[in-house]
Amino acid sequence: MSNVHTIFLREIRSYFVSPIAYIVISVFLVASGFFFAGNLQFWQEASLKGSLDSIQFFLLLLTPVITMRLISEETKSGTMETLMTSPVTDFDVVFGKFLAALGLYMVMILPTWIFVLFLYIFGNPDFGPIISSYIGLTLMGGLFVSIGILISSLTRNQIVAAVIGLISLILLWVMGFLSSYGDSWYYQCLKYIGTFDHWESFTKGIVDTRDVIYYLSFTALMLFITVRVVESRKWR
Amino acid sequence: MEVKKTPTSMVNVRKRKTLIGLNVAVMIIISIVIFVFVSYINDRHYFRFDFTASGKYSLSNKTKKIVKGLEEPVFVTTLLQHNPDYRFHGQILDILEEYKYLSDKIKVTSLNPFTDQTKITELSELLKMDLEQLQLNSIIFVSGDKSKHVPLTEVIERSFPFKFKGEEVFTSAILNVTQEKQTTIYYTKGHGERDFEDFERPGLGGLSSALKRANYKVLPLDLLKKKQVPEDCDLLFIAGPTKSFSTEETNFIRDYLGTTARLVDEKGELKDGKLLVMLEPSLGSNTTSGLNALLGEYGIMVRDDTVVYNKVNLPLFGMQTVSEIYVSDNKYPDHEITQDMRSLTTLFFGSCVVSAAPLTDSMAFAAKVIAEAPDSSWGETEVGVQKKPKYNQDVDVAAPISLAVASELREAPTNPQADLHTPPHASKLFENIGEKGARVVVFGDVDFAANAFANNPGNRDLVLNSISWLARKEKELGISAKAPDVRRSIIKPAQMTFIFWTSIAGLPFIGILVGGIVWWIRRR
Repeated sequence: MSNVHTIFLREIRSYFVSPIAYIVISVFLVASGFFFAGNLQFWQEASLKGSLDSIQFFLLLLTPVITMRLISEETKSGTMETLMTSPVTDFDVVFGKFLAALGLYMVMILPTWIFVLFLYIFGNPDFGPIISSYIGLTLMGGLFVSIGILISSLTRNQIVAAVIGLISLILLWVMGFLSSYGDSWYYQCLKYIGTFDHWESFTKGIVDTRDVIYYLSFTALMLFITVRVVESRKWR
Repeated sequence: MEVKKTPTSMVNVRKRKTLIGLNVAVMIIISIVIFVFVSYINDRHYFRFDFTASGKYSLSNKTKKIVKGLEEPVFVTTLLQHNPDYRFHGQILDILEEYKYLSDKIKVTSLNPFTDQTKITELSELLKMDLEQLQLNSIIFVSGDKSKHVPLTEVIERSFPFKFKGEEVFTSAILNVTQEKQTTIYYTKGHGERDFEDFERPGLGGLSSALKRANYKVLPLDLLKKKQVPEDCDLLFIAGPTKSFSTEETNFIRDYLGTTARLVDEKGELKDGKLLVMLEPSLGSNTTSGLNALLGEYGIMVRDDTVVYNKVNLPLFGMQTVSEIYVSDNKYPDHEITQDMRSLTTLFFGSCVVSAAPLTDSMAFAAKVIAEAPDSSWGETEVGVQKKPKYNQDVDVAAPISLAVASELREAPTNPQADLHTPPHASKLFENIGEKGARVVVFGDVDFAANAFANNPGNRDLVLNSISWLARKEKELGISAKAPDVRRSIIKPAQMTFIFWTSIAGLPFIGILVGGIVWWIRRR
């Protein structure tokens, strides 16, 4: 795991020495702050439910920006070959980069705890749904990042990676809505694959192992495919 | 040294690429198959944890025990309109999810009333009901050949702050379709009663459908033909007779109910008959029903009149005297039938005065008024005789006017000394008297239960509550309703301004500032 740790540190450092991390975090905080304050003013409810729904959507838009360069940049600049010839496994590379992107994602959502502080000062929030929502946000972040890495591994162009990543995440989000048009097996499959239903339970204060395993298994699948794609490139 | 690309090496490279591609494809397919398998298992075996402080989604131990002990599958179908304004809509679906989680015998299907027409038609065929009889915004529980419909209105406690009582209602519905014997209601025929198959304005077809939806069996009864009230009769319903019951028939009813003089049957057990009477007085006196003497034995006094009251003083037409009586608020005296009715108005149309007789020591039954007319009302004995009804203190019935009465066997006194002076019914032979014995409910009107008045807020509820009370189904499961756990924050405008600017500018500024510092340091 020390290789994973090394790659994680390298990646996270590269995030924070470039302005992109700060830009992404600031954009996210403006948007989430706006929705939090708007919801609080309108509903006067000591809860994050309404604002987290919007925050989730912004995370969906911004995560491909975090992940777009992870592998595509290395492939384009040729550093991928160097990395592959060093004594690290493909899994170390992919998982280290995944953890780094997830780390940035966590840093991005961490400041939103100030919203919880406001709710605590001015109201009496139920911390149960807040905690479960953040568990959900973390798991969902893992899935979004893993999809982003996979797409980044499939192209050399960062912009293409970002756009395809964004389209993929939006499709994943929309699938949940499509499932409401029927209840045959394929609609049930769409419902299961779509992120919306799985996320919704967390915001209500329910932690369902179906949702947790959905996120973990889907993330694992995406990372596994990414490792295979990276591995196949090495031998081509 | 440059490696020359020979045809053999080209073939080898192509072969290697194909093998690598194939290997990757196979591995990806295998991983997807594993993912599908994990998802399949995951969807069927799962755990749920309720993180809410109020346990909003947690079911009581009583429900858990009932649901886990189910032997037959229960199919739950929701016919809910997607209405985001409806506060408890989501909570209904969430709590049904909890039922589904508790037992694989519970199958929940959510149908959209506007798009799932084919499935709704199939459901109506399964329930042997017309499409119109399936209520929009209801939850239908089906097990075997029994079904129970729960309308949304039953899911919310009617008094403010509108608590959610879904668990109690749903668990009760599950018990109803799986364990309880179906309650059989017989309605009498042959005395000009209202028709239970008639869906026109005067008929009781709507009420009949509502009873069937509530898992009651509704059957006709010709007393003269049967010569007795059938043994499987749980409730006898007399709905607006316009012709008199014979003495023989009233004796059959007496025999079924039990009277003060004869409370026990041949086996020495307390008689347990239930009677619901709705009178039809608007066209004349009640002597035609032939039931007055019978009802008197249960402490219920019926008068030959029509209740009217002065409604409004119109400039050109003067005081309007009407026979539409609106009952609401404190005009429902305290009783199990009316405890949930105060926010609902019941409209009676041409009722007679039905009152409770004062108690005497020799009476086995005690009657209580359950609905009263407005203070300005009176019982008019000369309807149709006078051009305009006017209160005549010599012949008319003075206020307060009662419109409905419920009677049941009196409780045994708790003071042992009192036994010496109490009537036979209070003897210790009849312990747990509150849980058995005859019950009678009499309404001075039948129109209020007819199809024409079904849409009036309280009418149908008052009838169904009375039937539940008579059938002793009023007993709650002891599962408390849940208050909506809405937590308000109290924020002054200045504080809100602070929160707003801190959220949209303060926090992002820190990010931009740190980013700027990093950029500046690296620039140097």
